[in-house]
Amino acid sequence: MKRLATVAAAAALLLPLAACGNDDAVDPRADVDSTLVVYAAASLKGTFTELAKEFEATNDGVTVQLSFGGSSDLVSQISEGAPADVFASADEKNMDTLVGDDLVSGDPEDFASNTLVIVTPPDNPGDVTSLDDLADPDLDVVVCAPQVPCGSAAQKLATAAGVTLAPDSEEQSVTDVLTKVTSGEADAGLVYVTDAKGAGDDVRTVEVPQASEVVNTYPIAVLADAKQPGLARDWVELVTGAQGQKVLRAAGFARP
Amino acid sequence: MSPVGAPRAPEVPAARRAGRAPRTTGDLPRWVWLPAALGAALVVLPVVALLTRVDWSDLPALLMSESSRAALSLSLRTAAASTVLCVLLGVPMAFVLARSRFPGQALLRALVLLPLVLPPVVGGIALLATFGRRGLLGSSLEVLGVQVAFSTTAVVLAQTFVALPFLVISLEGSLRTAGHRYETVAATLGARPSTVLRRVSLPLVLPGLASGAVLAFARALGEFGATITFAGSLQGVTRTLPLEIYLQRETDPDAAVALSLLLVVVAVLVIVLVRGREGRS
Amino acid sequence: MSIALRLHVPERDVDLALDVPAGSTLGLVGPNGAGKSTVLATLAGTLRPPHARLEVDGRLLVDTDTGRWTPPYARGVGLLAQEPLLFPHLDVVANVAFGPRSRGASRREAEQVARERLAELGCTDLAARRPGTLSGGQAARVALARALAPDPGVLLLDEPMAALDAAVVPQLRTTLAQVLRRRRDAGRTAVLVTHDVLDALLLTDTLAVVEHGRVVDVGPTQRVLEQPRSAFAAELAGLNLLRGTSAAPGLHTPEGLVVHAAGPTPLTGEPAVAVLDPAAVAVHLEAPAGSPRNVWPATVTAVEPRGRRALVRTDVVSADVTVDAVADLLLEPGRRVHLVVKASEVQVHGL
Repeated sequence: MKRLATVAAAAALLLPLAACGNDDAVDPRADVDSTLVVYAAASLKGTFTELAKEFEATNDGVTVQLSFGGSSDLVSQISEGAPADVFASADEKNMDTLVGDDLVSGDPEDFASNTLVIVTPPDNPGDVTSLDDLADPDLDVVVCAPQVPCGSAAQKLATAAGVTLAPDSEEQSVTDVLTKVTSGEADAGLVYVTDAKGAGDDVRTVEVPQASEVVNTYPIAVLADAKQPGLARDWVELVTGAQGQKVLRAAGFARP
Repeated sequence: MSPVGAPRAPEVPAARRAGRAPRTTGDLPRWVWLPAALGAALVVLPVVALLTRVDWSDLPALLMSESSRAALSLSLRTAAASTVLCVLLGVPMAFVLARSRFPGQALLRALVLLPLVLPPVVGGIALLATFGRRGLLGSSLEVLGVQVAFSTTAVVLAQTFVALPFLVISLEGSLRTAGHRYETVAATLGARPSTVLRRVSLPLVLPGLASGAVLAFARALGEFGATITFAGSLQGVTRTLPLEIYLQRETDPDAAVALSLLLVVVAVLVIVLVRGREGRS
Repeated sequence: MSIALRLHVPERDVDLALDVPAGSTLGLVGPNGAGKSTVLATLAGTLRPPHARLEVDGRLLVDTDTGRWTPPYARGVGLLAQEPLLFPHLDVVANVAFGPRSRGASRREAEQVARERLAELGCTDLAARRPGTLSGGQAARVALARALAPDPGVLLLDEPMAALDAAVVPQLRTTLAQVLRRRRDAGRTAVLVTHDVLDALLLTDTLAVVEHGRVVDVGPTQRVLEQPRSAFAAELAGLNLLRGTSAAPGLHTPEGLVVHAAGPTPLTGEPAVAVLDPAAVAVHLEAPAGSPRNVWPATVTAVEPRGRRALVRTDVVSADVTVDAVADLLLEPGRRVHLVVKASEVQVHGL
């Protein structure tokens, strides 16, 4: 029993580190010939999944493999040699990292932008009406950590509005912020417009007037090591073209 | 009498032979060594690889940054508190499981060990469902003015949740090994159950309790999934070392590696502590 | 402290009653699994039998009919087991002081009692030692001192010398005899489980033979061993025992053997046993001339050498003969012999 406990303990010590791996990683070896591998920021999950169906319908025999994750996670995977053809980032900083490492073919194109909005649970228990309320230490306020794109955007927004946020938690990703609000743990959170739209009736949205001053731009690029550069180019065209823009707009994204 | 060419045992003086533990490696087929070595490499190599990534010159600065110190201090404090909580709750649990019989005991034991096999994030969701604002107990706690979510208390709860089984199985094993004959003798000498527990049972399993507590501490220190799900992440309040490592990866991979090294060192210390004690007993 | 026990445990096939007068030591003998441990565990309170009634010194401790149950610590019943089971984390004095301390004595009082008990058993110099450093004999003495320290009204001894080196047994037995005699004078009672005839003879006043969960014989130790009514007690005492029905001229066995006995015999037709010493059995190859009363044809089943003599086991009774006789008569398993016993050497007891 003691021995088992020791082994279990050793395993448990490694577990949290293992848990840091990306959940959405795909098997890169699966049928490379007719497969387009797209790495995209988590906030693009809904729109890109829809676009992938259309892409497969118009390109016979082509399979689109989508891998969603935090932009910085995806960048480090691509840097370590993950076999992706296209990368769509939720911010310019992460794309710049890839450009700096010569991992991008051609210039990235901006295809969408996103702004922040306040979300509260549907019954708005904290009676949140403006960004000022997010400075109230008595309310449970959740934002992204400054280290991740949605967090740095939140900080910029607060600065622009002259508000000092009093967060009770700085989450790792915008999804975590949204979950804390929809589950009712938090009174208010700052998320992207698209996330608020995606959550539907699970949240109440409060607009922030200064939000337009802090715009998050989404760039997309074909990768230098792409195995399917032609298909990758087609994908970029789909996203930046009328068809793609229509889907993105419907999800709440703004023009770049 | 041995046939010509047959391998002969090397001549070892009897006195020397007697002084050594008998070697049995000769009985193992050689091919066993290959997968065994691969397995060892799988565990050891990543740790070595981690060492190669460490920026040794900046290490002190990385470890002494304000956020690192806050995370380390929070981790040590919460892990210590969780360990105390594990001892206070786990010792009685181990005694109940090892020393009494009641219907549903096997089921209870299985349930108590659940956090061992459960993904920590599931534990976090379960804790939210219990202590969250809209959770089973959370709403009653809210009425009393106690809020668990986003507090250091939540971190301690999450760590206790995942660490408790380590203490319970370690101690229950010790209790079963020790048997209850000493306790019987103590009772016939006139000792009441509380006296037996305090003066006989506990002292007898003290080594098992100590190693269980060390394991629980280590598990609490490494807790990530349940904490980030249940407690949130705020410097100095809920952002423990593993959460800090995960966050630092976004902007400062060197700091993440440095903090990882710190956790590895603590983990190795814990294993040495527990295994060393086992070796002696 | 008198003991009155009624015990019925169907799942262990134990159903018996025992009464021990105050100030005596009862010996319990019987084959393994006969129920001796069940009796001790019931007395100590470590077993909760389905049907039992136990009175010690007139105080009702257990009565399953009314649900009365006294936990072990409140019984005043001490236990000395086969293994010393000294608490390894306490030194010798603390081990012996444990009982008095648990019963509310102050640390100083308890320690004083402990030192007195140790002194009585000649263990004063062991006081500061840890149990792990003691020899088997030393540990047994300390365990005895510990069991005596709370001065239990009833002391249970569960084969206390069975696990010891043969070399230290006689000395410990003498000590135990002295201790039990002292306690007897103070009205204290003891129950001893043993497999050793010497233990039974030297340490007990009364002997109860337990077989298949029943008391098959009980009485003064001397009587039970010399006039055994059970195969086990006879074997323990080294005597032959034949079961049957009493009838002139002594006993008729179910196998058709007629046993001639001298002296008083019980009522005709009653179940009875015939007891005879193996030394009184002579072995012949031919049926002897003359008219000895008991001549039984038999087949040798085993020959057990014991120094210059040997025990010749047969399908009837055993004979104690010289090794020379074994050689002369070529006694070996399977050999047909005639066993000859004088009627005056045979006693018949009613059951």
